[in-house]
Amino acid sequence: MRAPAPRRVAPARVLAATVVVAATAAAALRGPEALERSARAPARDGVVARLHAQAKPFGLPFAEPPGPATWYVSQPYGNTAYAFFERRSLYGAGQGLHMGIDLATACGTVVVAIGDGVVRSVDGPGGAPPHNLAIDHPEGYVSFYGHLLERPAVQPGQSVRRGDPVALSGDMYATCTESPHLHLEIRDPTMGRAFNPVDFVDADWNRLLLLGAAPKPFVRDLDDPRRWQAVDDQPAIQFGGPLLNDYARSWPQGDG
Amino acid sequence: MRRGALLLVLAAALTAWGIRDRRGDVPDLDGLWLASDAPAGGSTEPEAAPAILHPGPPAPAAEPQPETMPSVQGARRPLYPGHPRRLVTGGCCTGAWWSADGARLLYVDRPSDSPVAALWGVPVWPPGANPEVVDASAGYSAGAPRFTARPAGDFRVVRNLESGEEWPLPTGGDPVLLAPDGQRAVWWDARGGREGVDAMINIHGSDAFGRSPRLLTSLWGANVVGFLPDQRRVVAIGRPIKERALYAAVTLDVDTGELAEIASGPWLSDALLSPDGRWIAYLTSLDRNRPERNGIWVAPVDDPSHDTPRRMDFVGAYRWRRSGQLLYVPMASSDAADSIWQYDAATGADTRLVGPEAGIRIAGNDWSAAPDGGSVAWLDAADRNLWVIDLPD
Repeated sequence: MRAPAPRRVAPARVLAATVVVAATAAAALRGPEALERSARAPARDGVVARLHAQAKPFGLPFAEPPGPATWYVSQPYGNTAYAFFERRSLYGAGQGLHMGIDLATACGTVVVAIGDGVVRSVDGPGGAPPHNLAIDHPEGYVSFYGHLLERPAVQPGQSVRRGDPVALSGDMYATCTESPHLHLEIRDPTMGRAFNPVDFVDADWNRLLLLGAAPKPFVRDLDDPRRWQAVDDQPAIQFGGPLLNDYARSWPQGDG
Repeated sequence: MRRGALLLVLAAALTAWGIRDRRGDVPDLDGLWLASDAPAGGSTEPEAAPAILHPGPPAPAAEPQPETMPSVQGARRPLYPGHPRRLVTGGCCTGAWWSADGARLLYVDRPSDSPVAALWGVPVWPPGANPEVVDASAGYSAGAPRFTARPAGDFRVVRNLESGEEWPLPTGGDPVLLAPDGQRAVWWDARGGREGVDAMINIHGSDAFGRSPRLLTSLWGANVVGFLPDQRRVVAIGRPIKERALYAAVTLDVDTGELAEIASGPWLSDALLSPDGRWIAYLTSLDRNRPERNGIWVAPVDDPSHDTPRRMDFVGAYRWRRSGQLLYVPMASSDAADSIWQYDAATGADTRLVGPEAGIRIAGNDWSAAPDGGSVAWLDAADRNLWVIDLPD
């Protein structure tokens, strides 16, 4: 086995990367839109994406490590094939996109707060039945946990710390046999916009996707087939806005 | 003589890269690129990743000595185990798949100077080969590598890439799989969304032209994995009872509708047939009460009484390499880069084929093994281009 490759980092690149990190941190202090801008453009560059990851404010919503017995990514955020087929129904309000990340897990799995914050609502607006929870975070975002098993025991106004148990995961059909998973969203304080949790939750998402026999599919716009094809390259959602994936020609094809 | 000529080609490719690099241009490598000679970061972009993110392999002490291996069609090309090569630039090609002869990777793309999306192919060898349009219809794989299928209303138009022949199949708009010999077809109500995942799915079969269609079976949340080498049966997964999360992997005879169970388990998914059809790998998950039922398994397709499913020791992404040889990339690792391992179903041997020193970072579980099992291609997480690495035997 060979020794690891020596690092060859050009000083100019280090400086550029440092500037990006500083800019990202500054953007985080300026609120969701600034951070969104800072996050999306560099996401196409591996260096900046990784450095940006270091500035991500939140953690994962489970205390246990991922795996078949615990939890795994079942549907990414954004331009997914699943959401595409439901773009005029289930996901119509979210511009046809998947508004969060689905993490498959058995009913009753303990969900933890992804960051310090204050409970905003329990079974409040936002959908994702049968139960949901929203937490306000000082960074200027709201974490939203959907398809919970039961009404969370926390109360609005209650302070929580990152890693605190706050709910139990459930099933979108409330059966625990059809689609058990946690739906995690990141929204702005108005709840009117949703962002890609990958840009905010500090995790190695490409490695989290290394489970099973195939990639999680994104739908292709055959007029622009390179767009929105990666877990870390997805658009923000304006709730109530026009469909972003009503493609004239798509693969797969579907009327939705 | 052959080895000498190949080394000359390699040397010419490396020299060309070096010249461009010294010019200070954004290197336009016209495709293939040896990562071992690339700037750390694995990208040609000037602002690209430093080594801490995508380190790439160290420069080899000596020029790699090529090995040769017969491809599925008998042609030979040099193999350089452990040395990643980039095939394309521009971040073009998610979901690529191998051509039947393993000579190139196919993908749907629309480069900025192209009027429409098309099916493109990039040769795996020789170095520097440019991608070319393979089929202007932007069809996608229809199971067997020599067929594509594109949607057309209530039909799927199947195209034989070798003969250029094409014909419509009345699938109701649903996707279709063709047997490798082109004699039979199956399609299923894979309409996606809740309809695809949570609904009762009907699986149909017919001859390759859609004649004498028949309903083979109906399963909740079903999916068709592929044809077996006998060209007559397919493997499908789904759950027989809606209210139970117990999924089964079954064989279905397209001619008779006969169904036989291979394996079952909680949330059985991600089923994958070995190239010779003897083995199936699959994932079971989310059984809190009996954790020993969760994991990745390898089971024989026929005669399950002869051998029971075996649970793998790893958790990760997997693809078949050759008969009984399962490649996998572990999910959990303390290394910055991914590793490729091989499990041998016949012997139980577990071998690391590619270590983190190769600098592989797979994007979105988007990787595949060549038909001859000699190489692996992947979409790179850092530059979003297609790369390939040859594997040791």
